[in-house]
Amino acid sequence: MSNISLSSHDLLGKLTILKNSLFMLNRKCENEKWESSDKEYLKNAAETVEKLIQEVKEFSLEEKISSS
Amino acid sequence: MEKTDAAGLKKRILVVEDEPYLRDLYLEILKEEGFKVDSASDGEEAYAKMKAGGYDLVLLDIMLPKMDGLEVLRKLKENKLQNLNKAVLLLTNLGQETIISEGVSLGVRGYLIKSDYTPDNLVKEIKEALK
Repeated sequence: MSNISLSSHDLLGKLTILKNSLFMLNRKCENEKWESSDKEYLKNAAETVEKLIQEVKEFSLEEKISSS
Repeated sequence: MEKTDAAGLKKRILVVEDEPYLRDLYLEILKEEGFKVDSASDGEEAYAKMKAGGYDLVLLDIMLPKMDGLEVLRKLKENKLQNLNKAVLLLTNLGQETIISEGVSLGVRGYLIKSDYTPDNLVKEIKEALK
């Protein structure tokens, strides 16, 4: 496995933790009376993490193709 | 999906994950769903627990300290211990085809790409695997 693949793997691992943490926070805010602006911050953060995950996966796939 | 077996016992799930935050989170959400859960944080601990058997499902991370997930499966197979647990799902973060196909040849039921799942979706997949 190349260094790049390892880095992508590590990065995806960290992003997965963020994604799960944001999901749990969101679940908590559904049960409590949070301001709608706070919910919006959370939604934006979750969407950004999801985009990053997709970008890292695409990058990893491109690297795999170019190295083969 | 029944969370208990025919004898009314809770279904047992072993979560093998070296990342403490994810491991604790998976344990928490599975407990909330009524499963009996156990965990291992490295390959050696996973091997010891899988060797004892009796799990309805094992969620097995591939990249683990001491012994990776595939090595755990190879060792179980070498010692003819691969049928002591009902099902194994691999946990991974990249869809590494060669690793996954080796896992399938070692008897795993499937794989889950961790970054694709939120905890609620993961629970749905687990319930599906337990049917």
